[in-house]
Amino acid sequence: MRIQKIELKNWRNFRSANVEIKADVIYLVGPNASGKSNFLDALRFLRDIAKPIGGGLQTALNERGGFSKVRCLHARGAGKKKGSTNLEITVSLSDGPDTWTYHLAILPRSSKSRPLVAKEIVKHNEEVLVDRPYDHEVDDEDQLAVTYLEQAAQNKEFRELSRYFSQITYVHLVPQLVKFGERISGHLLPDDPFGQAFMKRIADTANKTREARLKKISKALHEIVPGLEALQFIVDKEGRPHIEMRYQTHRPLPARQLEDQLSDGTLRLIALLWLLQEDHSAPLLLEEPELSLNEEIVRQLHRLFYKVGKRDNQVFVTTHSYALLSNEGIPSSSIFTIIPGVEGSRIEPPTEPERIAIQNGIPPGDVVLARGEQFALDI
Amino acid sequence: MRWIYFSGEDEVSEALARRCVERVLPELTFQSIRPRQGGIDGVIEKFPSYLDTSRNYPFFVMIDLDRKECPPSARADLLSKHNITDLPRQFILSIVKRESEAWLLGDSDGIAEYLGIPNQGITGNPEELSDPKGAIIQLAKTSPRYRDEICPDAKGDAKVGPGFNFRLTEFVKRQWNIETAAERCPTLMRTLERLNNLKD
Ligand SMILES: Nc1ncnc2c1ncn2[C@@H]1O[C@H](COP(=O)(O)OP(=O)(O)O)[C@@H](O)[C@H]1O
Ligand SMILES: [Mg+2]
Repeated sequence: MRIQKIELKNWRNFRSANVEIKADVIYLVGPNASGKSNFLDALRFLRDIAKPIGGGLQTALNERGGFSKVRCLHARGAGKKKGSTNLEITVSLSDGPDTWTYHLAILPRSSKSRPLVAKEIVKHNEEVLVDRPYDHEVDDEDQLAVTYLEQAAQNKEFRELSRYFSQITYVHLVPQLVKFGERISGHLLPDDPFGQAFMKRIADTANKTREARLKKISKALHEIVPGLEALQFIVDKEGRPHIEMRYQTHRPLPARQLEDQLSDGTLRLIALLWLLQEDHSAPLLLEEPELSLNEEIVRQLHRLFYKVGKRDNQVFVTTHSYALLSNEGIPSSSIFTIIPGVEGSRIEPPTEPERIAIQNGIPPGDVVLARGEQFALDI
Repeated sequence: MRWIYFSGEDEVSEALARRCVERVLPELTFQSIRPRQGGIDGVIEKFPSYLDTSRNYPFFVMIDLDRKECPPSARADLLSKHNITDLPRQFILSIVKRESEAWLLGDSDGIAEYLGIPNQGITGNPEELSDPKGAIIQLAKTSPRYRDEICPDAKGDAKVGPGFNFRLTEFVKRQWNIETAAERCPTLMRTLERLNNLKD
């Protein structure tokens, strides 16, 4: 299943966004605070509603600080046209010849009550499977406080769609958290977006798969980390999982290091290479994969994302990196620019001259990261 | 809408190019291309792609002549590198004699005012200078405002100061008088004429 269209209304800093997706790898570029992460958050939000453990509309909203935090501050027309200040997310998908549409509109009934489902529509091909609210529930807040998407009893006919959303993966790897995850311990965020439980993720993988993945990673790292012989998964005396790196030395026994000795960049790369080998039956959302990595490595990442995109599912990437977007094999359809404005941000495909430039072999980064005048930073 | 692409060696060239386009072709929208690898190499590497792109909308490229002999031979060199015989009409290759900083010096009153120095001693023929960057650094040495930013630190081995591009770009955007500069810089005048010719 692939996402073909995402439409947002009053979602965070987007009053309205309408994105048609044709590519398997999607890059979101734009200045700081333009809304790249907010855009990805719309997909995470659907995941958080749909996920079978700890999911649901109210939880997904609460985890974000409530409806008022996610509804666009620039939403217009309060109290005027009915529904104009609803928050709406619509996703259209294709699965071979089949098409799916999921539409959710949420409104705050009154300041005291929970936000409620204003509309929930599920379409499979031309067939409308759900079109809420139904007459029998319009006065029942408890029913309107939950989506069909999150209820196994109600989503039978579109279970695959619900499962798909629930399997969306979001990662914003923070090397220090990957490194010191165990020692920091304490509070673990749901779905571990920052890689704090990364070692556990590796530990929870079947032996054979784990070995195969680590082997590939150590092969890839060979060129980058001098003397590296192998990566191995081990469990220490306290039962904690680790990655051990073995180095060739002049001494008879290889030198060993655990992950907390690795450089931030190496560790981040290991985590990234691991993630890219996982099975993704739903989109993989990656925040700024270039962080702490050397440009030569970053330059090669698109090829790896592309493989995941072809093999498994779509990859959505936020980035500021020229190196990442230097790959001339990135089509213009892979790129979306987020443009901030006082009335909220807009998200757009490349403009006509940008598209022409990319089609003629100018590296996409040279084109889309060069928007607007160079601004002056001063203090 | 109509656009004009631009690619150049650095920030200062882009700022100059924006002023040129604004002056002569204000109806066109400036579409900058910024090679990841700065300097002349970034421009040269993608030159054939720039040519192809110019089939759709005009493409303006600005490079420094540096130590090469003269603009025509530098142009011939560049074309032969890519086996190109001629440039399309919509392609404007501007080769600045010696460096784009010469165009800044063309507005001697402006630069003197910006730096807060007297304007005597600033050459009236900046394109004859062999090292315009060096000339600006020399002038800035007496600048009460920007000396530390524009001139290299005596303790280091950098060629320019840490605010060189920042200050020069600021000057071009805010104060640079393009008319005065064009009268003293033949390659700037020719660039403006050729941009103007895009109109017909
Ligand atoms: N409900 C909302 N309405 C309007 N703006 C919002 C809302 N929620 C967050 N923002 C704004 O979005 C911006 C952050 O966007 P983000 O997606 O994190 O940017 P980035 O592009 O850097 O990832 C902040 O400026 C924040 O104020
Ligand atoms: Mg972000």
